[in-house]
Amino acid sequence: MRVGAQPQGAARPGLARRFFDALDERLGLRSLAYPVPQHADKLAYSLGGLSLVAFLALLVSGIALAQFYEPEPATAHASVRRIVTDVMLGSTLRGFHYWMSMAMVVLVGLHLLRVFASGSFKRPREGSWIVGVALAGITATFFFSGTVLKWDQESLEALEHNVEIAGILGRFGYWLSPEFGGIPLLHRLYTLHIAILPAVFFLVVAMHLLLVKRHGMAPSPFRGGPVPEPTEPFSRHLARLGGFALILIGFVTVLAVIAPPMHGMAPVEGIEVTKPPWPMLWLYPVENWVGVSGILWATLAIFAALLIVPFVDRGQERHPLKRLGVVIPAGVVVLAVLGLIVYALVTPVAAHLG
Amino acid sequence: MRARTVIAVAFAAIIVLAPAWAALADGGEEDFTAKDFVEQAIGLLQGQPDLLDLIEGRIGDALEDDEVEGVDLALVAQAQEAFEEGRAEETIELLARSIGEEVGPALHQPEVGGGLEAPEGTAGPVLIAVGVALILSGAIVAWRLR
Repeated sequence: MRVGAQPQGAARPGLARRFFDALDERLGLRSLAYPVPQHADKLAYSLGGLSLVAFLALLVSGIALAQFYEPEPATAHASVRRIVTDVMLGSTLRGFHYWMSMAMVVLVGLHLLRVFASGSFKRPREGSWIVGVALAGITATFFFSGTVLKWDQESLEALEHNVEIAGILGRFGYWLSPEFGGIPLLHRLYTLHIAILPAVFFLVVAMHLLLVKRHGMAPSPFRGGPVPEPTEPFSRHLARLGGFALILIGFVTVLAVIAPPMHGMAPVEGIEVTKPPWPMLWLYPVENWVGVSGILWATLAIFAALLIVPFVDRGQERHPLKRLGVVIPAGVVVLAVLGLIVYALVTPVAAHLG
Repeated sequence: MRARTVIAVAFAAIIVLAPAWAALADGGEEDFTAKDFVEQAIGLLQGQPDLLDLIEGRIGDALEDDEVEGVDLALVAQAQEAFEEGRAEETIELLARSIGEEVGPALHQPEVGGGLEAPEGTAGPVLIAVGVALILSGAIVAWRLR
């Protein structure tokens, strides 16, 4: 019998049901109802999905912003001002993009912490972890390039640090230097932000999702209850994720209206009068102590530490209280980063560039 | 520790601790003109008005620079005087005029946005209502499917 066909004598299903059946016949929607453990429905286990929702929201709002933005050093600042002051709902649109990017940074960070705390990266899921760390790196690059694109004083100083770090990297940093390409670095960062990074993100996130599907959700070390754990359809998990997504989008919409992000003065070369936005602020004291190279080495150190996690923490035990040998050092690093952010907030502005 | 762990840790250490090969960037002095120094002084006055020595230095650099094209040095000198007497707003205005600009929406408008703002017009409250409706509907969905 054809899928969705009507058995003789049965009541004819409603229009919505028939529409869904028609879609399912063509798209295989019911295949999304595969079983996942119940703990997947917890908010803590929906942070990765919410990060993806944030990315998609950024994609949509970014496409809208790109209709009005000029990636030309001489006009970029004015074009952002025009978006804020002249474009209908432009201030809210920019605010939505800004706050959603903050949300994505927080969600990705919390997702990493949750996966680490619950030992979900352990065998055979090491690949998911490494790909996830790559996604966190792409998110950080998105954030940095977006910071530059608004092209105010903070942006210029961020770009000057980019150039300085490119110099430290020598030939490996040539692509990041203004000498490469023959067009303004702002153009290339714009291309990076709107074309290269989204394409790479989609590829890597597809790998991440395939690996999660391949290995299934890791067991939660925090749950009690019956063994084996009851399951529920993945489609139900998606529906609950949809609920969380609505909350996220609604919250960011409200923030965009009542707390529009700052856009600083037009950039002036030769001065350093700003500090980086808070997700990068922990690097500011490091730069004070070590110099610009400290930004590079501290960032690499964090990502190198993240990458080796599954190779260092290899035991079977998943509960964090039974993995104190790795959980305590990780906790110290997280507290140090938070402490550095707070310290940077009260540290006076300093000049670091040549 | 197993061999693989040792290799992974060593690899990470090499990445983190091997800056020797990467010579520090040549941070050669950039060649600024008097106009650049004026713009820098305005930027400092708007961004970090507490850096008095630095601002004073930039105004002095503008007055002493050889490349003075596009700068009215008489106005810069007046700005220097205003700055020394603590009149920051007037200093900014004089400096902006000295390079043929006005402090306004063109180049040197200070930041916009930031902090909490009451929504203006009808769109703001409508968008807030939409946001709240999304939050509530999302909360209902999440609650019912818990």
